[in-house]
Amino acid sequence: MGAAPKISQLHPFLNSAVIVSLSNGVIETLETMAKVAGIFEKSFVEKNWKPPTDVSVFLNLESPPCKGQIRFHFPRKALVQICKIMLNEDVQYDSQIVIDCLGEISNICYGYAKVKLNSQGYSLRMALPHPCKTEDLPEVLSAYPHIVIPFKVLEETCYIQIIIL
Amino acid sequence: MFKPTTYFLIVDDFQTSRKIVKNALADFGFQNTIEAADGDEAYKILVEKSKTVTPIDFIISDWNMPNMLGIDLLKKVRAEKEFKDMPFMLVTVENEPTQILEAGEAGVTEYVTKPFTPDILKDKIEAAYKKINPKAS
Repeated sequence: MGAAPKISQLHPFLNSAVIVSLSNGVIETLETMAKVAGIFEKSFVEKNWKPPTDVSVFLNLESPPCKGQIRFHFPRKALVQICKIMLNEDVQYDSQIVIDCLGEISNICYGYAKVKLNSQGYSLRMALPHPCKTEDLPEVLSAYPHIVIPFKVLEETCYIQIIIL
Repeated sequence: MFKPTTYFLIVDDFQTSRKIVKNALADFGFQNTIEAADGDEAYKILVEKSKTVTPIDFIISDWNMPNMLGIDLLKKVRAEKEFKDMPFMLVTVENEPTQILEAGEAGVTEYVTKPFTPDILKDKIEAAYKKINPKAS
């Protein structure tokens, strides 16, 4: 019996290039726009993982013939601080702009990754971010396990999640 | 540099992005701004404001938006005689060579790639001024 294939061999979106590009996109975006550092923790693979956060955003990944979804999850506490720095003004804890802010962050992260990956043979299309409360995220059914990449920002744990469809 | 009374139209589907640009413009001394959430809304504002005593002088737009993309707004603006020379800056994550080429061919004045700092935005506004006023020092 042969060894099980590595996760990176299961699907093009599970390739390390995708993970590295998205991870670097998050770090670069947060450093440039909010002057905060992100520190990555050990990533993991899990079926039907549920994020323990307050605010999330998803973007549909499409590089024909492959389809998937990238999701970013943040605790509201960290996001409020990031939003304050980005806007250089006070932000209410419960305000809608905190959710909007994650949409813009994900937009920039995805754009960063898209350029890198398309120069490596992918053909990722433009994607519109859909930010929302984590509890309002739509369910997705996937035969593949999800890749989850946790990272610390302002002492709070945030997550990048890659879902293959 | 542009006069402090210059009227900017900021177009982006994310309020955060519009506020970042608006706050940066205020720091540079530009207080006159109006916002639109997509290209369609922006074009309507552009036309309406052109009939007033405070028309739009400068458009700063995202590329990827619902209803009408920033690149399509640029093409529509350049197709109108009244607006064809208006400074138009794209501030966007879309920076693949084919897209930059398309924007150049469509007549974009300046191109800023997200993420950006306020200093970059200021440099690009100054560059836009020099482009449309080549004799300015």
